[in-house]
Amino acid sequence: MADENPFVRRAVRIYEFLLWLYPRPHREEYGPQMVQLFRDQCRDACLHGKRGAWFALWGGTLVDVACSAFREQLTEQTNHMKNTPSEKPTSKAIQDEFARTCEVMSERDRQVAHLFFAVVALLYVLLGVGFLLNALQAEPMPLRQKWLGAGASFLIPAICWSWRHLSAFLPVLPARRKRLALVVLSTVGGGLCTAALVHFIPTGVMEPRGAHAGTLLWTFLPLVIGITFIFGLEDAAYRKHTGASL
Amino acid sequence: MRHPAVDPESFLPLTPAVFHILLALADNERHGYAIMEQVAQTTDGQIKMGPGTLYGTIKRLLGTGLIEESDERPDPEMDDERRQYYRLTPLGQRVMEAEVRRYAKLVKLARAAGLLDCPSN
Repeated sequence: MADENPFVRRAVRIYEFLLWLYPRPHREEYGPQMVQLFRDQCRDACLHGKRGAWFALWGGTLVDVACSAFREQLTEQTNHMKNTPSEKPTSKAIQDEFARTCEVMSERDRQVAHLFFAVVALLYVLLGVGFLLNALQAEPMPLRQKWLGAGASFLIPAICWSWRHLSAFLPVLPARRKRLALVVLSTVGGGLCTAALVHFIPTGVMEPRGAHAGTLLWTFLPLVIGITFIFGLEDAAYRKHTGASL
Repeated sequence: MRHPAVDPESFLPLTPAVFHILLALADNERHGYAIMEQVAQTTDGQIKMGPGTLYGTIKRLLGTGLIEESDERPDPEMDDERRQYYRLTPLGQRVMEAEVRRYAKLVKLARAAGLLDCPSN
């Protein structure tokens, strides 16, 4: 609108940007009406002519956006999970999910993906057994090994997890870049967090505890991976059922 | 009637946001901003709904069939045609009646307990 107050125009543009926090279907269906309503509120605030009215409007709007966007995202995710069929045998579904993860990573054919995942899974098992034996002997783990283990431990869960839950929160990027960004971010972030945690266990003073931490880490990991793949399975089943990509 | 078999009691109790939106639509068809204004007015400004809460609730109400979109315009000349109007469905009407009856019972109980006769009230 040409005759619109510049304050209103600017506020509406900021609000339009904030709408990206909502899931796409909700944004497409109700976005224009929400913007219209916010514009009306801005005009009201202008009519009051007081700075307090603007502060009140923005304060209320930010809280409203934060709460309602979170709720809508949650509803959207829950609906995805509810619509997921579960008739596929678990072992087949796990295999498919592994293959899907590898497919996206390698962007090659299915056999290469299976092979890739088999190698990664074998490495995991070997590392896990190694750490467990190490901890059982109550010998301290070398610091470098801790760093490597901690970093690697988050790789696959981070990839699956980020697809399932976080991709909806980065709507600005195109799908492929968004996924890549999330994989990198969550892997690096998760790896660094664990590594920092393990690193700050004093090696000299708390050797037995350091060893126990290693055991804990590697017995806890299968749980994390398991939970991650359960969610991953839902993705796979959803995609198979609907043909749509998350 | 869109949902003849649905029991209105199954929707109760209504959340404050839902109750006030349905109440705002009880006497008239309204668009989003008018609903928001009406809610603020009837609650003396105690309940202020932002666009996110309002349209999130409207979406759920449309989904459950308590309200519906209206194509009619009360006064097309005075109104922006881009605005979407909403109205209660028969099911929404019955749910509101059930909720108000529930409130009336509560008020009766409160009165019997002497809570409404206090000088502070």
